[in-house]
Amino acid sequence: MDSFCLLAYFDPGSGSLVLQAIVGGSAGMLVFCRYLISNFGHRLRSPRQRSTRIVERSESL
Amino acid sequence: MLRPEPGSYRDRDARVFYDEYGRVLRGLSTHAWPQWLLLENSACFQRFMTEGRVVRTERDSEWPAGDSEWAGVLHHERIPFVSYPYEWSFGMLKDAAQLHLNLLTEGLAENLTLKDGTAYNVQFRGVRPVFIDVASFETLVPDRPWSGYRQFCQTMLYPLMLQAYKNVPFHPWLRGRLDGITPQECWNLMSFRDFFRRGVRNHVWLHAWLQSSRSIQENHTPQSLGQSGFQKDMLAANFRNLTNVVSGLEWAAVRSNWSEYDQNHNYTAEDRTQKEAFVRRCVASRSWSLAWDIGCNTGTFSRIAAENSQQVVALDADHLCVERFYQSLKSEPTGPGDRILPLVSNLADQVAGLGWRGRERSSLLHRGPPDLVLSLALIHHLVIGCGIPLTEFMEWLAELRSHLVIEFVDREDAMTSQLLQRRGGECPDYTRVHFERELHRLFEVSDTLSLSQGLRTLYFAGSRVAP
Repeated sequence: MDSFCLLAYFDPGSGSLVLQAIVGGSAGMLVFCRYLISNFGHRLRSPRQRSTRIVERSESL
Repeated sequence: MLRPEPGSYRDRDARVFYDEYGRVLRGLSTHAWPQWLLLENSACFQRFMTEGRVVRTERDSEWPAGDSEWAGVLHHERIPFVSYPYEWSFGMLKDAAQLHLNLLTEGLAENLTLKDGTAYNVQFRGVRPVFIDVASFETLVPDRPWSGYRQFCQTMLYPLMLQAYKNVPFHPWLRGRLDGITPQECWNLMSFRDFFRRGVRNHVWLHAWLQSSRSIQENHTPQSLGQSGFQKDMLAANFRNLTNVVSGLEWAAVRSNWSEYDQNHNYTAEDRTQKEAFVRRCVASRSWSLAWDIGCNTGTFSRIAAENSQQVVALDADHLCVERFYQSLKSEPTGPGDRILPLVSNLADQVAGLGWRGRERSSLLHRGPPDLVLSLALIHHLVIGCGIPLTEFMEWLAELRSHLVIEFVDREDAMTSQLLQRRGGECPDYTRVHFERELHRLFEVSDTLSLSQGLRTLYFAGSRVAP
């Protein structure tokens, strides 16, 4: 899991984090679109692929 | 013997406690200590402390290392009287929000950020807001959004919006839930017209929609945003946007039940002068460490109390009165603003301990009992207006174990008569005879003054209740 989430002692809220990209101007909108695309791709993967990817991320931290 | 601060338990890396001398200490974990070392040496942090925007903090050299569970301990300057956002006026909450945004914006230049964004990280030294959670500062990760944004919205932005856009007092909302107002709740309170007001579309409507959207409910959002290209510039843009929104919020209240009392009271000029002289004489009889002015209205007598008190807490249930008093103190750079803390508080509906175990946020009395209480032209409102038995009110005052300056207003006084008429002429316990009997039972009276042809009387007394 991301160190960002591990260290926060409260839930920052996924929607609240994403919104900051949208409010961040036109470049932020681009980030939001990229985020949605990557998120959509993430959902299309099988649950096994997803869990493998999360483990890889944790190990890379 | 160390006593932990009950409100400081969430952050496992930093905990506030008090030592036997009443000093405020903060233990930092091995994770938080390196952050402090970076912060300590940053130019902006030193500037924040010098300007009084962040609580003065230094390493506690007396703290023994070794077996301690903490990697290091900090010593904070003590705030004279702790207050909470549900007791602040609109201007106080707005100033707290602006302080947060200033610290975030200026910290950004030195790659510093705040890991949370709650209004409870701010206290007031008189009318000057001061940020107290030094452990909240951390090194900025440039491709990550601000984790405290939701807390900022819930405990500061939305309450301010409700007051400014809807004229809905935010105090009951913040008192009802320490986490504040959720985006969805705030949006539910907005009308179609509000959608076009500054900040509502993004920070309320879109925020509520995104928070409830199932397509983004995942636990690696910050990392995904970083991979999608989130940058520090976007944080800066968000802080600028929030600063513009907060700066534009104004509460346009014109008058309230008590806001014009200073002009509409039924004292003659001579009575007023005599009353002020009496209170000044009582205040000057010795120096006071903490004075409460309950029912302070526009704060005339709080100012007199401040002449010989280290700290005055000025309480009134009328939000507009407190707001005007706060703004007037703020506008006087050489006035008593560093010693007077105006708060919105209804004595007939006092806030008990809130949060975890009912101790996270203390009741008024637990935050520091006064040694002087001013209760001027208030008793008839509580006894007749709020239906509190006179004996109970006097016993509550006596339990404060302080000195008391109290004004009794007779039933025949024009304003008291109006109050009694509204209550159908009842309230048999509200008589001078009964009041004086209770006063002499519970207090030792040392001075009195009669005003308005005997219809109003001031008393100076000390509590007989043993400390």
